[in-house]
Amino acid sequence: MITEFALAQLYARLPEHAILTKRHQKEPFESDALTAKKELPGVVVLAETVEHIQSTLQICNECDIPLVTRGAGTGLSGGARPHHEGILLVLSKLNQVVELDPHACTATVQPGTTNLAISNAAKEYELFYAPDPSSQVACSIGGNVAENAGGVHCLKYGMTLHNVIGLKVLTLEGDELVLGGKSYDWQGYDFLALIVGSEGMLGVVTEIIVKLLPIPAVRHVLLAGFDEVEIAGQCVAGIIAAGIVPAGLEMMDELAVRAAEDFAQVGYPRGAKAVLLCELDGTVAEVASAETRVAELMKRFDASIIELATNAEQCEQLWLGRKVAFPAAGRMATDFYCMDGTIPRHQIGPVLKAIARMSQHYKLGVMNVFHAGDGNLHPLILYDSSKKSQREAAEKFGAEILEHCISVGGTITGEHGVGVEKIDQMCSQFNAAEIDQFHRLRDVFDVSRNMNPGKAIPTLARCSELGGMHVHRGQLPFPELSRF
Amino acid sequence: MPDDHVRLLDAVRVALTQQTPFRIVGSGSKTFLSHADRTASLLSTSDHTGVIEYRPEELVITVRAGTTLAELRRITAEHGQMWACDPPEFGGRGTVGGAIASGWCGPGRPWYGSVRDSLLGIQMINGYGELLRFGGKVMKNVAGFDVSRLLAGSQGTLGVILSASLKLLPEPEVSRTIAIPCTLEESLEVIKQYARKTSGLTGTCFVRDVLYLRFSGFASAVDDEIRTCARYEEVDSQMWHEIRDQTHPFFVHDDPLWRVSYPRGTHYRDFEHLLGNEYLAEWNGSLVWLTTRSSSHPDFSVVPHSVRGFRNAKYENPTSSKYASRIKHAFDPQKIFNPGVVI
Repeated sequence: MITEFALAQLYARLPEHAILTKRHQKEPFESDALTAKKELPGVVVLAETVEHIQSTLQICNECDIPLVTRGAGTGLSGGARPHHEGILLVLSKLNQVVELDPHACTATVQPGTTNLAISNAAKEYELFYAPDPSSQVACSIGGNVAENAGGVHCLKYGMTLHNVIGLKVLTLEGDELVLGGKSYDWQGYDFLALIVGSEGMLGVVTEIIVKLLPIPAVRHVLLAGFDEVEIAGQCVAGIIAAGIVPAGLEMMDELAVRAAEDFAQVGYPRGAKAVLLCELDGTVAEVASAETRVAELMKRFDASIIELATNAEQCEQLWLGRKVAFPAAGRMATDFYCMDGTIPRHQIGPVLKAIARMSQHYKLGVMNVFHAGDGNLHPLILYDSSKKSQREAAEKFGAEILEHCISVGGTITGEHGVGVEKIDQMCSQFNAAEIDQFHRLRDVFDVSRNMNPGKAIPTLARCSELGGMHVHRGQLPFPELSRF
Repeated sequence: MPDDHVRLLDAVRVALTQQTPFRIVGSGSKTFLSHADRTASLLSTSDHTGVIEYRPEELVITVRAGTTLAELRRITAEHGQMWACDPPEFGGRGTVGGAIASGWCGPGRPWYGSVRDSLLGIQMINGYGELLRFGGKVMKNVAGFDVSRLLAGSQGTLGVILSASLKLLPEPEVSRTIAIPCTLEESLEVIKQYARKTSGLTGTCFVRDVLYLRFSGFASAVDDEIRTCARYEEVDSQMWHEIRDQTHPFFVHDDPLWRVSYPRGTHYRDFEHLLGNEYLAEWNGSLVWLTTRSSSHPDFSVVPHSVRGFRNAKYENPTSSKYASRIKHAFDPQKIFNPGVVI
């Protein structure tokens, strides 16, 4: 907990306006975008300099205080949910582009910089930063690093991990690690890969070097409607198997199409069981070749309608329905719960069918809008949070979807992170020895386990209580050892 | 094919019980690079071979670690796919496990990504004698710490890699290579122009006053790109395999060989201190292979870099951090894997 002594230390080392202790000051920070999981932070620190971060870490280390780091608070898994006895370290004021190197095609930025601000800064050199989570206007690059965020263009351009080439990280012990850099490789363990996606449990990122890519000369979008979800799923597999890597390949189911149409009249084929959006980019000749092949494939898979957008305005129009999907869902139900499992692509059809069956069982609607090219599902479970029974049913429904993703060879989270939301399903995806290994890795940086406690990696005791300790990949090694 | 991970797991547990450290070896094609104690006993993964799962429409293959890269290439090529990071095969002997442990990539690295970039999941044995799986076989997966990718380049110090799921890419319809005679300074200018536009560029190499450029993709797109180049001559794309496997004439000698990795966007002035030695620069000029007549080396400290004494060449790198030794301890507290290798 935060003692009087610790608080006095904070006031001695940070400006008064950077420390928020009053309830009304702290309330805006009580959750991230997973608003169902709220907790009032003990103290909020609004860092303005790296020294402020350093001081906060030092005080947490010396006074044994839980520390949760937060960027813009757009995370969907509760990774930045505060700790009521801890410090919430907010980095959104550290939002400067430190260096833009058009020759090396890199940008060096502070963690609070928004994702879109990087591409905006790079625009004058005809460069851009590729990963683009839907929240890119607001989400911070530091948060993207913590969660290894994705977006609609991961299929071709990779996730945050593939686009971040250097990091400066402060550890709880007060060391500054300089990881990676502008070279293509370096010596030593790949700490960078370990830090990206570590959900704020290993250190605080203070500076980030990202790689920038040339803005493609041409960008076209194809839209196709299908009478069956399975066939649309097969078309996705067909495009990939034909040797085409689209910049984005998105699918929406019937309910999602209807919701988008009701919300924004985007001109999607009403009544289609699935709509596929395929974005192709590159040189003129490259896009022309790919486009012909994709259109042929869509026809071969009996697409009921195919539309092609070849200028920026038309592309925007075709993307609009996908972009309004979330607000449109908000009009169909008072609340929705967004899941994030990833499955092998060939399972798209069967898994969507299974989700439809669960929807009937739990008596809750579900709409599917997702990154089909990556097999990354985003089922939106529609419910009413004022009804306890629906709230509970939605959580169970979500958990069942995740378990199903694991059972078909997938994962519980493709891009949102585990946070507090999916921590119980970690016990299903990993066995005791694997979770033990995660804890030992965590101890490398934080023996006190004060960095973002209660997130991402469950304790074995928790898994045991859930009865979810899996041994399906073989017996626990050394079963004679007591583990809990 | 029977899965002999049981044999490997047993061997690790016996070594743990008897406290006898061992060297992990695939085909041994990269042994010349390893600092492992040559007197330690061997654990070979070379019999642990074969495809566990391959669905071309997933762009993912799961293979056992002892599978050779040549075999992997043959299998994926049947479906018009490839492991794009293109690690050295060294006469077809190199294995998937060795490629991951060394983390070494081929000439397409800046465009196709690294070994770790394409590594989706692994099965391994750690220094507790436990069989573990991390990552998976899907494109996007952020559950738990990214242990798979930590193993890339870990030189076998953290565990025995049993199998790996790799992200594949479609093979380009064509790959063509052109040679442009020019000075080093001119070559860097050409490279600079390509860095800022989309093109099908997938390889650059400057050696002995010639810049080689490889373009890959749809035939018509590659045609378009090459047509815009001035005073070039088309050459055989086989040269990129020779660079990858170090059978290119530049590498065929016994003089000391250094590998210097420079920051992206290398300027001519960054190279100047190297001139006077023989060199080959790939990866947009960011990776320089240098040979010297004697074992003394030029001053590498001019620009930020990472240097490796590669063959008949010794370079002392900064000592490893306390976090690196803790990572080792977290996986292998009894130090049974690859004694002598310190990262």
